[in-house]
Amino acid sequence: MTVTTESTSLRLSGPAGSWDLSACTAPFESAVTLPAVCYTDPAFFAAEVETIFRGDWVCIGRADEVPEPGDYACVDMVGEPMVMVRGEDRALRVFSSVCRHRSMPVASGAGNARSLVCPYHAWTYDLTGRLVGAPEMGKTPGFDAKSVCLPEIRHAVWFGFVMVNLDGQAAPFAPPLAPLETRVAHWRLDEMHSVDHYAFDYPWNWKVMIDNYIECYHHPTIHGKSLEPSMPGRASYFEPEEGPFSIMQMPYRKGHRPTDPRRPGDDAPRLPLIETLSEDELSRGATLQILPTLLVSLYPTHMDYYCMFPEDPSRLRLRKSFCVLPEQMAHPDYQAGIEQTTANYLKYAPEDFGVCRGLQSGLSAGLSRPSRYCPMEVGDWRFAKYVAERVTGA
Amino acid sequence: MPDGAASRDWTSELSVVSDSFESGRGLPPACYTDPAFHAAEIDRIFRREWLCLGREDEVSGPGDYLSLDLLGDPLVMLRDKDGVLRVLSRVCRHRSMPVIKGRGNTNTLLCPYHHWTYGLDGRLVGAPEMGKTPGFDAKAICLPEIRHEVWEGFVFVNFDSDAPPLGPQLRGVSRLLANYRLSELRTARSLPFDIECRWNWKLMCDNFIEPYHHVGVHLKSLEPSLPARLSEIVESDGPWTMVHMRYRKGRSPEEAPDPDAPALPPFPGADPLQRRTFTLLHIFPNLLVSFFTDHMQFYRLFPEGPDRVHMEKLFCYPPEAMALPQFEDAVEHNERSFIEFRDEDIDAVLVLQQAYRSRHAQPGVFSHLERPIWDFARWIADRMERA
Repeated sequence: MTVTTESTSLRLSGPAGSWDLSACTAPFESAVTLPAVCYTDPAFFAAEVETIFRGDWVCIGRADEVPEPGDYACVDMVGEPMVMVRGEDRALRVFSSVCRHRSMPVASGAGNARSLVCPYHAWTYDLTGRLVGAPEMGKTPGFDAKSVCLPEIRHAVWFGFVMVNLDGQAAPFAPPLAPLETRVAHWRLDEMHSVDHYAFDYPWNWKVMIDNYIECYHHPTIHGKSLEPSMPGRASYFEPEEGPFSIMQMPYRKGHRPTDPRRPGDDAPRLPLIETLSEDELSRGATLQILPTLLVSLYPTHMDYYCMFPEDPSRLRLRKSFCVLPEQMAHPDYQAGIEQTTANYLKYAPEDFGVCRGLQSGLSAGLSRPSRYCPMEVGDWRFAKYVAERVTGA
Repeated sequence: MPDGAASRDWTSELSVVSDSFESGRGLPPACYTDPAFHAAEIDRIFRREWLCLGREDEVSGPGDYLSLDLLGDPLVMLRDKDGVLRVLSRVCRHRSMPVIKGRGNTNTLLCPYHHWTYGLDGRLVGAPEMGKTPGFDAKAICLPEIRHEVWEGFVFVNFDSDAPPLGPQLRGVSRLLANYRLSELRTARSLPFDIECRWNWKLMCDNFIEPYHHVGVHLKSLEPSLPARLSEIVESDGPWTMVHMRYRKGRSPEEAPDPDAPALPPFPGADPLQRRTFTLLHIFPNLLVSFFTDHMQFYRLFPEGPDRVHMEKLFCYPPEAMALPQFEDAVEHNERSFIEFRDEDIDAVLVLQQAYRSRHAQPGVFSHLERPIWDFARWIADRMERA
């Protein structure tokens, strides 16, 4: 069953592998959006979990969240409890946190510990995942504690972002991103510290979130008073495609750049500028989408990014984090600046909630149909192509 | 039922349980999460085995009734006008409205929809406006009665009329527990769980019957007085498991009474060892009973889905204790204590149920203290391997 805007078949349904999304992977000039079923169907979601969230690289946090030996941070993604651990040898490792006894997660939350002690029966693992204590197991024939270990999850650290590949089969993460590296170098991302986190539990599809985030087309309408004045939607543009990522540039309106003189009445605190940025880099924000879910926004004053943990077709857990450089944190303007920055975010972000909620409900309606793209939606098209190709194996 | 579940053969998945504890592992995690396995379990276990509904004294006099929903079947346990205990389907034979709900006392079962009226024996005694229906014979209409058996005061039902009686299979248990005079205990309190119990019914059984988890989950609350390593697993000769946990020396309720707790005397028939013991009993599949030194608790436990179970805790006391002035306070105290330990267990099983979805979850590796879990897994596997 093919998808066209004028199709009388309003739904794509059927077992995984029977979806024909060729209209979504067509060139931008003729492509259409993903059909609604991709946002609502449990079978499609299950295929996404396999081919994308287990099959590709997904961000679970940053290495700077576990800076010292013994630091650990737990993450749950698509039913996999995991824990990031900084070893005594200072190496970062990611383990499945499921106890080798009866599958209880051995840790929760974040903290510092010399060993991970399972809360169920106190099985104890050292920071390399090896079982070092298991009470009352001495009478179990053939039980050899020394051979028991928490499974390691394949991971890669890229500019401080900790990426995991759950099925262990994906091609290496970094090489296709080589063209991106010079573009982000001045932000010195691997030196940054994560300073603020906001966790949300949203009743909409993970792709609704991403689709909304990677286009500025909606700035005049949804963010008309908050973002549009300083970052007009019409000024945004996408860099040409160079790899499995998109760069959406968001130039500041003249007079609103952080290097411009302050406008009258604007005395809000600001974070100190990142001094290694070029004049051009100081004149815009940039949103990177490293497919599929690493959304990183680079500003003259900070970086923020998302970790995404979809639960079902209409539920997404998400964490937004703010990151800055050490010299910014030492600056006298830092505290007031970070508070203002995060307060601004908490003010404009809810403007998207009504939209996302509405989208999920509209996509669940029987009469929803795919559409053509606006030129400001290049990122959405690339993302839809990625999803279509991964899920259908095309 | 999901396609294919009715006839699916689970033998290869269940082979990991193996035939001996020494080489045995637990049920694969999918047995706790898979809707197809759950549907097959309902069919091959819950529709064929003895299921505990509650205690007979929950309906003590003629007309007393208690509505219960079991496996999606609305039932009612009641005493008829002669005081005979019955378990009936409470679904009206007219158009399937439940004829009664909740608990109480009644002379008849009067369907609220069209006032069809049934006696306490289930027979239809009144059906207004049905006189013009050709061939309608009210006298031939009856609420179906579910086969039941009372063992030591517990009411068990079986949907399979060919299943062998339960009592003979539990003779060993009756002998071991004779001193508690189980059939005479009175049900004093029932405590529904005020949360959604989002875990598999078997997870509750596994957690209940193994004393090992005192070293983790109950490290501060129970391990100091009831340490895991002082447990004894009883050798079973039937569809049940039993564990004795001995109080640490000097820490039994008689030796170290809780100054804040109103004390009840131990079970009148208990011997000195039983007065220092906390005993756990699991009668397969769904009866979990615990014997404190002075009272008994059990769970009403009905599976509702692969990750959902209905649970209620009931508290039973020797009749002699109920006459004591401190009895009501003791009941309150025991209920509060239970909630404390229960909450420690709930935290664990909720997280565990989610973790069983992980690709890295695996069939359990057992300590000798977890033998009862393996016995239960073996019993489940025996019934699930055949269609």
